[in-house]
Amino acid sequence: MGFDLATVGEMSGAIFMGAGTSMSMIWFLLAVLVCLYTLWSGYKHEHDAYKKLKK
Amino acid sequence: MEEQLAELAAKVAELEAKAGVTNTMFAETYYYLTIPLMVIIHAGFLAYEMGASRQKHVLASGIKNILAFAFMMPTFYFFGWWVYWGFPTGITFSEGAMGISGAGYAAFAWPWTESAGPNLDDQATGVFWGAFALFAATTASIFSGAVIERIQVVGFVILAVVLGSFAWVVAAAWGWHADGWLVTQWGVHDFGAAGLVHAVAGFFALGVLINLGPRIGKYNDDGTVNNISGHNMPFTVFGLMLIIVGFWGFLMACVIVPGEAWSWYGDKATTIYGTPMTLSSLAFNILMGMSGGIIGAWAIARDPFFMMSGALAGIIATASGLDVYDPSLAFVMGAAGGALLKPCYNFLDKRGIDDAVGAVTVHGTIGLFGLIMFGIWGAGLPAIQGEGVATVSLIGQIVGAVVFFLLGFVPGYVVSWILNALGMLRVAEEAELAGLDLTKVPLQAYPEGIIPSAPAAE
Repeated sequence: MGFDLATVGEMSGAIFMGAGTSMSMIWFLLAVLVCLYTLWSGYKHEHDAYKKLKK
Repeated sequence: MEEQLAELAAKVAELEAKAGVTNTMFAETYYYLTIPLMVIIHAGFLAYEMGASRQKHVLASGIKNILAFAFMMPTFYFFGWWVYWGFPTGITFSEGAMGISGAGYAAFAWPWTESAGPNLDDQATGVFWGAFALFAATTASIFSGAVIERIQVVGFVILAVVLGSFAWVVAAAWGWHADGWLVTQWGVHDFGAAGLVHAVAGFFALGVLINLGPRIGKYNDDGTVNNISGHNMPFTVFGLMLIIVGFWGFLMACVIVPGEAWSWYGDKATTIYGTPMTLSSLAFNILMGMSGGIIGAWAIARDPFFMMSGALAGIIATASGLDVYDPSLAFVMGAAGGALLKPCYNFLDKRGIDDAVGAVTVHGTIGLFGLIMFGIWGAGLPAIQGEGVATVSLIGQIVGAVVFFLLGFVPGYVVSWILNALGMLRVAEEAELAGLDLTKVPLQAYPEGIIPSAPAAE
């Protein structure tokens, strides 16, 4: 992960955090969960609003 | 003498290295700049559909459109990019004409690979991914306007993801990719994505509209149609102009720049198919097609909404052949696209399809019109770079049109039918009548109200 600026002239390849490690998959799964959670909460918010209007 | 020659050779090598760096930076910058230009498309669609919404729904329409963009980026990163590379030869991972399997292509497109993030050895993947993600978001925005004022937001987001990160991506894999079976077997040529972006998105919207149904008040019991005007026509017209500005970036991103390892040529820009072209081709033909579209629509409709929709229709009608059209032919094609708009829109409107912004017509119908007409004008042109390749033909373009229609309509219809069955498609009737903003948006669009303008002329 990361890089050493002292050897910047020789740097190559992926420089992002998690590159080539299982962290990349963990960040990916976390990002998927964020999307799924927000969709679920959006669904709940919308349907609660309709119920409130009907009362 | 030998010393001078060695010195000269070193200088040449140094200059070559510098030229290579410059070319790579140019290529990266070129595609990078298409991304903010395409974001302007979304600014345009946002203004367009908010203006086309009634005052009581305006912010809800905005939320929906903004979320389409926001969910498209992660989902296209998670799997859309992989779909493009994985399925060019059909629904298998089999090897195509380039001798690489879909699995081979797609291996670098997963989100956890080293190309899918900051990488000093890869100055192309990120900007290409970004441009494609914006194409994807464009499809979602096209669909978004058609369904305003009565679709649930989460149901809409799911549909937008199906369209933007799957349906059109399959169309692009089949009709744009160098190994795409529509290209290699049928000679389909769709440079500016009239079919594989516009028609797919337009007919996806049609599939959804059938299950979603019209807005309350759109149709009377006797079958007559009421015109539901948006609350801000100037905003809608301005939005349309912004979409057109953004389309310069969209079409620019369809060009492959020369001189890189992934380029078709060292010294020539090409289409995505590797057929030679220039940016000047686009300058000629976009402007002529757009102008033709405005004039064609004005001749039939006389109103600024259809005129600016006509500008878009003019570009879409010519999009398949912007790389090779005679500019005057582009003008005529644009005018035909613009003139077709209102009759085609009225045809659907009278048959119970409440397309609030005319997306099915502008993008779907005109997209297929442009794609098929290129089969007449461009017949015989090589569809892709190489020896003995398929050539453009009317039959090939019609096959492409049928496939793109189905790739849009079928997922739109099926997924919206499922969402409808799950109660996730249509908003509650009370909310539609009271206004979606009042029901679920914690802001007021116009707290001080709007003064109504004068009645429209006959």
